[in-house]
Amino acid sequence: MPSEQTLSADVVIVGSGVAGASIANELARAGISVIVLEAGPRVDRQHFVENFRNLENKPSYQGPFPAVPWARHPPNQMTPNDYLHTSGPNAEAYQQVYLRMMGGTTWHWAGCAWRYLPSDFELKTRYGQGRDWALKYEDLEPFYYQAEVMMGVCGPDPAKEDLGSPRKQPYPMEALPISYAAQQFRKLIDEKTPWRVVHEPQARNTRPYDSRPTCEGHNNCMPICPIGAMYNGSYSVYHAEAAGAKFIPNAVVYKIERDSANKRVTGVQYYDPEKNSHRVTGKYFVIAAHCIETAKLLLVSADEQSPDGVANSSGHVGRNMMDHTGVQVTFISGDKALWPGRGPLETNVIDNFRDGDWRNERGAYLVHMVDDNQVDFATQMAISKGYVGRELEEQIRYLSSHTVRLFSHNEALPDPDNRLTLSKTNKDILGIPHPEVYYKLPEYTVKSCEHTRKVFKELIGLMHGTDEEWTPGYFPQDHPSGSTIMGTDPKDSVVDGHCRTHDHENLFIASSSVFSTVGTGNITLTVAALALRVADTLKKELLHA
Amino acid sequence: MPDFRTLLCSALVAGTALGGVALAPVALAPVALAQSAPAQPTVPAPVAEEGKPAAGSDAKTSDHTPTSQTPAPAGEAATPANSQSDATGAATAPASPAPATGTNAAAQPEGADAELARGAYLATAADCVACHTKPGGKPFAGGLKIATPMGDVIATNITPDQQHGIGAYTEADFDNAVRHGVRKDGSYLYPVMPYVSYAGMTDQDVKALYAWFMHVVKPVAESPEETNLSFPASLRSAMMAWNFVASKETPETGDSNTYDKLRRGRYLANALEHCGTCHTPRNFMLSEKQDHYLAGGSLGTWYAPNITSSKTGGIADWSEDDLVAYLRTGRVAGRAQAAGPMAEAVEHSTSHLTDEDLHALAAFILKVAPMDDDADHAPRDASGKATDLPDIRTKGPQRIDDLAEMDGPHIYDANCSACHGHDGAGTKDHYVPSLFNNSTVGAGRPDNLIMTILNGVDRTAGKEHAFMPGFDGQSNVQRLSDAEIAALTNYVTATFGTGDHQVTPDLVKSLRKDTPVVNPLAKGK
Repeated sequence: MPSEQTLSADVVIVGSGVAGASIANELARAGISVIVLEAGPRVDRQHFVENFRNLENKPSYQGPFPAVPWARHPPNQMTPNDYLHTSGPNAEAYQQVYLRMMGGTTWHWAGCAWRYLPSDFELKTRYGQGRDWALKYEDLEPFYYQAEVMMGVCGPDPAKEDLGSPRKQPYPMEALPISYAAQQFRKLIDEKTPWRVVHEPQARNTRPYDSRPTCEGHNNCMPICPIGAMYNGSYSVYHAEAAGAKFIPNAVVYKIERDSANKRVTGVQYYDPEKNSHRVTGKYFVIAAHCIETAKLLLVSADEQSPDGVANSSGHVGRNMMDHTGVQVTFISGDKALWPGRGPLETNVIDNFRDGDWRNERGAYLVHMVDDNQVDFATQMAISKGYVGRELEEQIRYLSSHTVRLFSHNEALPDPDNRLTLSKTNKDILGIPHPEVYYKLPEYTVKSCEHTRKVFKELIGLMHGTDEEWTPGYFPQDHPSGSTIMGTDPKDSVVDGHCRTHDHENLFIASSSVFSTVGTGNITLTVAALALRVADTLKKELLHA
Repeated sequence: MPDFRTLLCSALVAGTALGGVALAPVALAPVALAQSAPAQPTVPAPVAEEGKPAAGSDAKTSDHTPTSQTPAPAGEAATPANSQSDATGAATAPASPAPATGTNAAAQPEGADAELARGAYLATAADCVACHTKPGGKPFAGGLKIATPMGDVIATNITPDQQHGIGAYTEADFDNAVRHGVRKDGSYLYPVMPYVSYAGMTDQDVKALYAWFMHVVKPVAESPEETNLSFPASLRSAMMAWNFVASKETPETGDSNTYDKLRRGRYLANALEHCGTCHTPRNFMLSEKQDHYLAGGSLGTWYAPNITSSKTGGIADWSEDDLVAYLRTGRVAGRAQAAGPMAEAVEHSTSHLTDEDLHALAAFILKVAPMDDDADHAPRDASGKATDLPDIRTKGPQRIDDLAEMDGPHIYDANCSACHGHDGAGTKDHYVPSLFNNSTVGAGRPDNLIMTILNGVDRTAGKEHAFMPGFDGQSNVQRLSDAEIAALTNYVTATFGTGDHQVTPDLVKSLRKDTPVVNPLAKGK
């Protein structure tokens, strides 16, 4: 079938998740024409909720989101995986999951909305490790706040609980009330350790906000908030559409075209599900397609002009893959019942290990006491212990109220050898190669994880814990980052401090793929803040042109 | 667009349906009047004679009607003469002498503070802010667009700004507008402004209200857009005719703070809160049908239910305390909760009334003469019980692009059960109400249930912010199609109410004001 007439807009964005949709919203509100190309379909909440309820394996948070054939995403975190193929010494630790659909991966996240610490942007200068970002915390501060307002973030009063990232304004919403389990945990930490438990900033309503209700603590933020109390990218899609942005679902971009000088991007080409090709032109282009798919698209677009892929004169596209690969343990507390699972999944952390002088030799980390319902875990444990009948019931009750789950986000470093490449053997139905990732945990992160294990063991002791179940090896956190790394030198980085590619003056990248280091807090708020900063740059250039 | 303010909308629809006579220019008024004669159908309709409209007789019937239905406290004599002079005054236009400008009221007597406090309370009780402030706008600066089929009526700036507001109004000008529906420039107000109710205010209270507006409300120097309705409503002169025939409250006398409980309740209900504006149905001339006082009426979208003391169609099963709790908080567990226009009335007005006034208002309302209802034949809050969803679980998930429309139980399961429970019981603290013993679900008319599903609930009273997301085409949470909302409504009424109402997608479409849901299955579009 011949291609329809060429579509065109001032700004063409690839990807409709939190990054792409929020840029589209900002630009459309400023009167700039925007087309957003989303590889996956339009979706809605009610079908996900039904999928979740119909799912036997409740903890599987990819489960309710089976991919469409033309926009595959990893079906689970298992290795081997039939979409994201990982290899290397820590292949299992890089088995990330994400979603390709309108609204993006924030359909299933836990809403943790951390700002990075000022030191996270200057790891090289302060601790001689990794890299510095090509921007400072202060450059991002206004956009952090803009992102918090856009998403609806609740958090503690900075005067009472300073989370280390200086704020000019208070959080848009008051912090979540602390659950019973978190109160018990907090008390223990306060009384018996030198550490502290703080409220986790959450993109979650503690009052009606953005025409969405207050969180009711359904405790299944992942895989799906059933009432819309938690932010996801679909709200930004709705707002952007209302402002005039055009979203095209099922549009799988496979080619980024450039002019003869290879300096400017002139258009992108996409396949629809029947593999008809379409072309979209524009003045500016933003790739906001998630860390893994963004690098994949740049590499897939390789041609004679750019044999190693678009924006890849440095050779760093696909390299420096990072995550918050961490440690996880579940155990049974010998103390009072905690009754976890009454409230959102993740609401409180130990933040003492986010920064310190020791960062010159081992990575920082963040400890979550996960507040998830443990009936599933407890039932399996009780059955495996051989209980039946009334005793089984009592054991489930006891174990589910005493289970504690801890996990950590440990800081990785950018290592060029940790690399995403295109599969030579696996292709999707459109003929686009699957992504492959080689991963070896940096020594810096291994040391960090060792430290975490010691802290976890101490906590288990303090809680008179038994029945420890450690997740084997390392625990992927689905925070992939680094694949189009930011830096000042075009020779060893892909984008500059404004997320503009060094190679192509009108091509921007809005994704965790630009992170120069990965800090410890969940990545989404920083992705959103960087995206809003990209929108700001584009507005200035387009409206003054 | 707030439905509370769509009085004219429903009224105009009614008028249009009847051939548009209602808003025809003056010459037609007597004919229209003759056809209306609403209150006493046994009395032959007054014959219109050569430009001498029977305003007096109409005023007479309408003035008597409410008092004859409701306990009339001694001493409140509504004289036809009063009304007639009101009507005449209105007809012959304003131009009352204006010796003083609004700003010279500095020479207030010593009780000035008391008077201002009184004025503030009256402004709240009369809920002026609800219409005269646009969302996010400055208080009383107007600009709220009130949708009607003939165009938007735009609320005016009633701050004391000299140029943009009512700063140049004398007390007499103010009185003319508030109690008689005539602006300072002599033109007639659209009856979206409930001056037929405010007509019942005492002289003292109008004075206090004026003082408060002039001295406390901050002047705002901005003019909202002009109202620009289509013909014939565009002729403000047409409103003069309406003004002739509309039944108005008779001004009360004396100090309204000293009335006994029922008289005070009646004053609050009629002259200030203007309950009848929504709850009393209208005749084809758009006047409230006083022989159906508070018997329920449609606002075009929301339905203001029958709140008479009928045991079958009204609220005879409510206690005074129930009604007080409802007006103060917007909800009574196991009975009802306020949404839409009533939520606004609770939020802006009734939740701020004193205990004594709430009891007075409730006591009066509960004594309103019973009127049976066409659609409600048992107390609306008496139906249903906790009922589990049928087993609708299937094995495994659907593909994410399969967005086929769901049936009632699935829509309920996916969108409602997280808060209202699989069995409709709501939450223990009643923050989320049960769907059984719920007057919105148990009503004979499904209108308010559909409106609630479309628009949600957003009501702040005291410290409680009650919120349910809407599911219309602007929802951030979930956008439901007309067919899905129809199926859901029928499931909910069949399960927790009085039976399947057979709501059709067309009915939902007629109530929905947003853009319809685009078929999400259309690939690439």
